[in-house]
Amino acid sequence: MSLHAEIDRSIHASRRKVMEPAFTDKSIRASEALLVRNVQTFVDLIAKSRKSDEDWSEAFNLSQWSTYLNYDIMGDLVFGRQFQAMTSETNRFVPRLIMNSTAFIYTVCLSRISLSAHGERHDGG
Amino acid sequence: MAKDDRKFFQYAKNVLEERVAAEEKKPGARTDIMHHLLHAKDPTTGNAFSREQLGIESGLLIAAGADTTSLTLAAALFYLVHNPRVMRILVKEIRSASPSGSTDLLSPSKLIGLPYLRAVIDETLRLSPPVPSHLPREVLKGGIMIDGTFIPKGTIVGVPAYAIHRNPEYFPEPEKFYPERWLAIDSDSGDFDNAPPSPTSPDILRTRQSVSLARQAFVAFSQGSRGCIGRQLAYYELHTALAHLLFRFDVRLARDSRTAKPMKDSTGWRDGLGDLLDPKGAEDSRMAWREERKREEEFQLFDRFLAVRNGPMVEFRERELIVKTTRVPWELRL
Repeated sequence: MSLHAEIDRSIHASRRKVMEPAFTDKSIRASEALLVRNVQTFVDLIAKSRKSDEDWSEAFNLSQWSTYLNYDIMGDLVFGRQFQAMTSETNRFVPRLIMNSTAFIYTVCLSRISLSAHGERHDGG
Repeated sequence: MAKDDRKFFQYAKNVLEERVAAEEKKPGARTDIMHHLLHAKDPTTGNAFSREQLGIESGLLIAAGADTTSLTLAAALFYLVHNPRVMRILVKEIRSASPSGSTDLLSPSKLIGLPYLRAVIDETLRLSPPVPSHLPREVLKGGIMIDGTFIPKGTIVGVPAYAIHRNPEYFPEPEKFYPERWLAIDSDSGDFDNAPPSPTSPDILRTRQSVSLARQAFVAFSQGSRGCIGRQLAYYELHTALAHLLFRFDVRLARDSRTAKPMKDSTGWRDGLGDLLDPKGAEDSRMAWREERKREEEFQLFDRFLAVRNGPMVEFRERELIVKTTRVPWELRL
């Protein structure tokens, strides 16, 4: 069970404490250059997409492109690995997996909640 | 979708194993988040994470770390291209941070201090929170009194961020994208000081009290012991990405290739989010989108715990910078 899903207060508090040093201002600042490197890749990619006969670039769907950018940032900051979602299509299947995975868990959770609410009505009446 | 869930956690596990192998070979070669997690211990209990726990947390970090921030970046640019007044003020703040035109001055630790940029991000998170729905809580034995109402044991309760962020008691004229509501007029500095408290929105106060009330009702990161652990990191990412984009480019809604007019429904599905969804899901969403896309001034979300979204479609025009961007000095530390 992930930290996010832990419901026992003291276990949650203890595990969260273990994770906290990774997210302090100081830790984040140590990764500044990684952050900028990925943003720079995005910015350069946009600059290159300028249409030849115009000042303006191609149209970007930002829901897609900011997903690729932030996925690359996360890979670099958390796993020390360049996923290259911005520059290559190979790893772009993962954002889709995430959405389908959470949608799946969400559906399961919601159905459990409605079951327990149903049970409560039975208890009460 | 169950298959994708397993596939996703298998993927997270593989990525983690490679990272652990690298750490064992050359400890501390990188001081990224995983480095901290591999070496962290609870100061009181001395507990560290087991490998199995780390695998599960990796999945969480991928999902929580990338999807939320990416939604917010797209949403912020949506609101900016639809609100030229706000865009003007923000662009001025960002470009003034480096008057020579060099990106050397645009380090994340400098950008994090830009107040209007923060207000734009918070206003975006208010209107389009990346986890829009409630985080369910079960009432325990004995029940509980909430706001004068008795709620019996076993009831699921929760406050959706989307809903409370539109409560006019905390956010007057809630549908209006108005970053100044986060900036008390008596504590600001800079041009947005002179932004009207506004003739069109006289109800949106900008006192210390009104800002503090808004802060208390702001739950995009949740609050308290379960509040987002990556909150500060999210701000660093968003400040950096938005500032670098707006520093180097002007941004506008994409033009229709035939009429040359701005594509009004910029979040239309035609140009699609196809590859972020399975084909069946995409088709369902397309149908729903056509029906639900009513508030054209809002970056609309489909709640799937995280949220499905699309667009905006935008174009960029590179500015002529006085100093051409070269290597940034902090890059050398890599």
